[in-house]
Amino acid sequence: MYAVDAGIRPYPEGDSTLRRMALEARHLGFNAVVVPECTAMECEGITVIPGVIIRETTVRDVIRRVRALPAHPSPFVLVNARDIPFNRAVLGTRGVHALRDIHQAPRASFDHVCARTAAERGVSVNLDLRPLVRGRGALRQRAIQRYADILDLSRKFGFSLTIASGARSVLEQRSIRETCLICGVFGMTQPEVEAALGTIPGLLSPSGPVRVVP
Amino acid sequence: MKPRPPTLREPRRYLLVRLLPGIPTNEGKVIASAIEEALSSLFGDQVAARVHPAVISVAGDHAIIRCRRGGEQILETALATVFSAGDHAIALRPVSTSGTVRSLKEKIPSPEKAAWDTADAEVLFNGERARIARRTGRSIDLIGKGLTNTELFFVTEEDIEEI
Repeated sequence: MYAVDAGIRPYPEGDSTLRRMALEARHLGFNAVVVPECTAMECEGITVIPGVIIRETTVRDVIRRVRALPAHPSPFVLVNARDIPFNRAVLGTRGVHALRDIHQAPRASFDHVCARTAAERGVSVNLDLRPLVRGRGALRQRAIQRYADILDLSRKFGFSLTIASGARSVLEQRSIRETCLICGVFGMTQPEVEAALGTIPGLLSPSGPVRVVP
Repeated sequence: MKPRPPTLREPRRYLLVRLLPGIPTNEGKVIASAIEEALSSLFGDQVAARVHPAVISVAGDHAIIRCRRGGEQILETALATVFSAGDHAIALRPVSTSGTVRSLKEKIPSPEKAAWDTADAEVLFNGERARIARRTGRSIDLIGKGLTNTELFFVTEEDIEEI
């Protein structure tokens, strides 16, 4: 099983260096990690996949940011979810790999149309474990509700999911087994978690039709 | 008080967990209250009462936690949501589950095998002085030399410079 943590934040954002977090990720059973604003490399036996988080509020700005990104090697592009029109437009944008922060988006901002578009375009929805681990009360309840809703839509429409620990420290990184247990809170089964952890390589190099080169 | 006969005792399971970081901030009561808070906030008081967790012992960077049989998975899920005990950030990593404390104690590595030391040397991390609090293999826990002297950094040998 190939497992990727779709988002860690090493030093200086957090208190642990990238090398130490890679060491811990390997110990916890992961093969790769996505690190925002980083270069692609191998670190302590872990593949470091560069990530880009787009926080722009308009679709035009998102498209401008995506077009400015290098094609090779392609970073893992995540866009912060917002209201329904924004999400629908972003899901149809070429070069976007995942929609993130869905728990912070307005209620019902990801509907069946978004789900169908995500499935057709091969865009995933990123589930951040941080609100489930560190959140308490209403914040965590909202994240559980939202993730359960996304999981239902994923089962029905077949779009992929990715899972990020959102760890800023080695203390916040979780093993694959712990990830399964945490995701079990909103009803995700172990095979579904394992599939979600292995989604990213397929998103970065999607299979396409065979092209004849003269 | 006379102990209950074995057939009348409630069935229990014991979890061995590794405490991170291994700096001596880990006291049984503080950890127990962190676990109880995590369990009741995630599953509610009714489930917490049914699982009935208790910290049996804390030795070095390992702790043994007791729960009712059948509640191990719930307890492990709750442990995954523990991120602080008192004022300190911690992580509890489940290592093993057993029906007896003795078999878990056999799984706790001896200090010689754990191969860690609390070398009190000063090093440079990112151009600033820091004190090594703990070294486990290539992993090093540093305490920053700031105003409060409590800022922890988790690095490796390659990330620091000797003074």
